[in-house]
Amino acid sequence: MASEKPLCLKGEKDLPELVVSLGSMLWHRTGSWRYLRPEYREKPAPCGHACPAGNDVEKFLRLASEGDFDGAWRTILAASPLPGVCGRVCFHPCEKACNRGRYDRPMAIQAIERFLADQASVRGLAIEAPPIGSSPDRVAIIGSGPAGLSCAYHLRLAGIKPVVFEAEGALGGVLRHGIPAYRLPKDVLDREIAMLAAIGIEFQTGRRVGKDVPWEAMGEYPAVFAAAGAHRGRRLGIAGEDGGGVLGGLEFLRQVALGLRPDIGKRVCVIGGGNTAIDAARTALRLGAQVTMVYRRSKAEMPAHPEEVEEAEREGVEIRFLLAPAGVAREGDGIVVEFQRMALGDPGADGRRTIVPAGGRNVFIRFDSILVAAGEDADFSFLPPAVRAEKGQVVVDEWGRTSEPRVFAGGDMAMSSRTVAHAIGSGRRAAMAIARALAAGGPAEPATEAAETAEAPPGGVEPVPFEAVNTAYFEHAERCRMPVLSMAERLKGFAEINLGISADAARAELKRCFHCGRCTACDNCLIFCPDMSVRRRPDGKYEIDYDFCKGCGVCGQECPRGVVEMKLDKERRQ
Amino acid sequence: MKKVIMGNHAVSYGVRLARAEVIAAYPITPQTQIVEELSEMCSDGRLKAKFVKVESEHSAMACCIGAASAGARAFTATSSQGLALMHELLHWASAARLPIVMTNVNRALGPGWNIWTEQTDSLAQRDTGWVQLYCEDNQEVLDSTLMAFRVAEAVRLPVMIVYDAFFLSHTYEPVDIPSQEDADALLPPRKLEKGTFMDIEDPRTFSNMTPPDYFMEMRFKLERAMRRAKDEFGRAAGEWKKLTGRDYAAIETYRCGDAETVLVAASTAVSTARVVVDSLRGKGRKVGLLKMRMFRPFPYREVVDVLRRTRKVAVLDRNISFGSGGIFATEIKAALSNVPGHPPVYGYIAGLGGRDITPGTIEEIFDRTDRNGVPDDPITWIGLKP
Ligand SMILES: Cc1cc2nc3c(=O)[nH]c(=O)nc-3n(C[C@H](O)[C@H](O)[C@H](O)COP(=O)(O)OP(=O)(O)OC[C@H]3O[C@@H](n4cnc5c(N)ncnc54)[C@H](O)[C@@H]3O)c2cc1C
Repeated sequence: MASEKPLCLKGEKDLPELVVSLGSMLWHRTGSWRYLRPEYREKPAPCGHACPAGNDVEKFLRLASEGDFDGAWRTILAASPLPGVCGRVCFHPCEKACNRGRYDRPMAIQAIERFLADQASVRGLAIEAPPIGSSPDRVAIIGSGPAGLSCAYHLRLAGIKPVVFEAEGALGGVLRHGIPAYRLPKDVLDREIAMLAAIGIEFQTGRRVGKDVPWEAMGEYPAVFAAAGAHRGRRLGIAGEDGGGVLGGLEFLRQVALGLRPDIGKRVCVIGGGNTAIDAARTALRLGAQVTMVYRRSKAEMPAHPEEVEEAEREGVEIRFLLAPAGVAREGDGIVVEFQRMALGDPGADGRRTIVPAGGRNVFIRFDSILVAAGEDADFSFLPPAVRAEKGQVVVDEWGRTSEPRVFAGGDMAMSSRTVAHAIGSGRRAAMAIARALAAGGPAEPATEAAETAEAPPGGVEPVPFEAVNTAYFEHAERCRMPVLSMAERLKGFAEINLGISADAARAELKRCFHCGRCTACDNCLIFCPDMSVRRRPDGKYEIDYDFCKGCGVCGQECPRGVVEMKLDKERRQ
Repeated sequence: MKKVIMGNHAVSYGVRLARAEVIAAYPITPQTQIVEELSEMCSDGRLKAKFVKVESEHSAMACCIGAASAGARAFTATSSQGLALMHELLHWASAARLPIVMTNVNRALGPGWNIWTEQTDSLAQRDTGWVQLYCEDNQEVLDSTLMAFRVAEAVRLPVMIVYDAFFLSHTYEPVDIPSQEDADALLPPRKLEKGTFMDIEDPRTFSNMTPPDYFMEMRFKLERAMRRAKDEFGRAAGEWKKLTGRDYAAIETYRCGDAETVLVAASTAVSTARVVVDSLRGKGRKVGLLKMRMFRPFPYREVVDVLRRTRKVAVLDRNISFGSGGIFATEIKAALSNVPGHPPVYGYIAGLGGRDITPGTIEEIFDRTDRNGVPDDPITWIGLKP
């Protein structure tokens, strides 16, 4: 403390040699000058926040960038058992959300996920699952698509034994019987399913619930997760639709996946604008057909992923817009399809423009066959009426709980967002709810509050906005390119188009990540603090000495990734 | 080990041997190679120092002030306009008692734009509280750099090493590069006494408000330190002589013993003057030479001891204080003014903006001094084109 006697320096000899206080100034808590208060708050990065499967994307990128590829793979596995699948077919909303996309181009997250999955497979890594608990409880899962697989996997990680009933002879749902091999080679799916079988998930194939297994048999399970997908092709509702030469798009894909070669002739018409339509068109191309896709609306309204549409066009699929099928007539050994010309109208409830007849004469086009891909509906006929369904979906809450206490549902049959990642996420959340319900002693309602805490991402909900990233610390760098099969090679068959990136390319790509919201112990705050009020903690991260921090905000400004936040200091405000 | 190197690189070697810890600099002709070489030394690990690129000389000095305040051995180099831009901080560095070492390569200030040598830039900073040492050759440049750190740290004042643009900065000469051992013997690591540097363990307030009650005392201490710098330089030079055999002092005399006319000069002109003195001595003329190495602190006693015995003093100034005269001449006059019966001082200005000072120039100065009575005008221009 300052001395109690009044300071009296008589002469030169009492003064210090340089202009400096006579004693330590530690007593002077300059923190009292503070108005703003810096705080370290790690926040979710937008990538992981956008992942419907709940992947901690930033974390796996971080571990991978540190060279820990195995740890990175295991991080993905904490959310999803299908990184090899998602690394290929996920529509990667993470990349759309990636802050780097506003700087140059987003991180190639999907390519890295695939790289990690493929290298884990090469290295023979296996899933580590805890032993199955002593409880005899088993949970029934209906459908082995991504939703069913995910639910089974997460239940198994919770020590619960799942039994999966699958109507088809092979596992995987749309991954097996829908998505063509040029996008998702079946050995990739096989190896990920094999890992699930290896941890003791029981699969019963060729067992359709409601037919091969009565619904009543589900009564022996304390919980059931229904994930039967949506497979019933919608009809066009036009004359001549039911005759020969007309095949459902998904059914066509299924037959091809089963190794059958449906006779579609040379000139093939694909009706529709969604994923099934695109995959059917590209598959037909590979069977040697000339393919014309016809869509009622315009390109902007196509539900298919834009990248897929682009690829289809590059491969030679012709797409015609604003033509609605009006009738099918048979002429000789061919088919003539009549189309009505359409025009775009006002935006509808989903934001997409609706269509109205444009007038003018109808268009007639001759084909050998038609593949109808006008959407798929779910079939709930195997479910008891007590499980409520509305607008073609089983009604569920965010934990997959249906109106029937014991019954949970997820995936395409219960969600309007029909993607692999959404299906995986729904399976995971349902597994958590089921596990909690079983732990609570039966099919009781899971405590929503506890559930939310368990699910809440670290440190808050709002992801780091681009504006919080200090881009001065990041050099522009080119995004890695996915090597692809040449056009000529592609059309010869069903070989995978995307060849995967090399380890070197992955390492270079990983350097691009901002690691939004995550303290990487870069030392910037420590170095720039003009008051030396930032201290390193034993865990390598930092703490602020509020006794001396004046709240200048330099640490917040210089934090490259939005971890340090400046807040109004509550103590100071009073 | 002897190497043939340019004057600028002699500085770089000196700074490396001094184990400087922070170097902040902004490039300016004719100083550039000093920091260029130092940056390479830092990048290839020969010198373990933090090299800070800055956006101006003002920042360079600010950075050195910060580094030195935190206890580091800090160095910068500049020239001419760059030095002028630092002016405010030169005062700060000395009054904060920071042992910063800086090289200033003498260069004329513009306009007219001129990159050649002239001493006005450094002499214009004479009142900033910096020790100033003027060098004659590349060996002296290197040795002075080492001694500068020693003096600076001993008395806690900044030191400026000064030499001529091009005549030394870009001229290659054989230079003995001292061993690291010798350098370390002369210059141990900077001693950090409690309460004199920014220490996180013992935080203090620095450079605080100092009211009229105490301000003069602080200035008194600075002046006292300045005076000590001369003794400390003597001590360092003594030790250096033991280590290397090379002899340095605040001033040097040449054939002054019985000289009737003594020429006072600094920097490379001294070498030329030595030749002229020899040749005039050969013709029986009693001429001598006084080399000013140290300009701040001004070595009054040493200068007076030499000059009081002579009949006439000529001062060669490669600089000008407009409206007054050559700056060395002004100082020499002041030094002699209280000596009863002191010799008259003739002030000559030559070689501004890099114009050559040839043996002819110096002979003309001796001739005019010997021939003429004391001119009324404090300035006699030599080599001025009429
Ligand atoms: C052609 C096509 C391409 C697609 N491409 C992509 C893509 O690239 N990326 C993407 O993210 N999404 C894509 N999707 C969507 C994605 O495939 C689905 O959202 C996802 O597969 C849904 O998973 P699921 O588990 O709910 O159902 P499904 O994958 O449909 O699996 C349901 C399973 O349940 C079985 N089943 C049905 N009824 C019963 C019963 N009663 N008893 C037992 N088993 C039964 C079925 O045989 C099937 O195996 C595509 C969809 C299609 C149709």
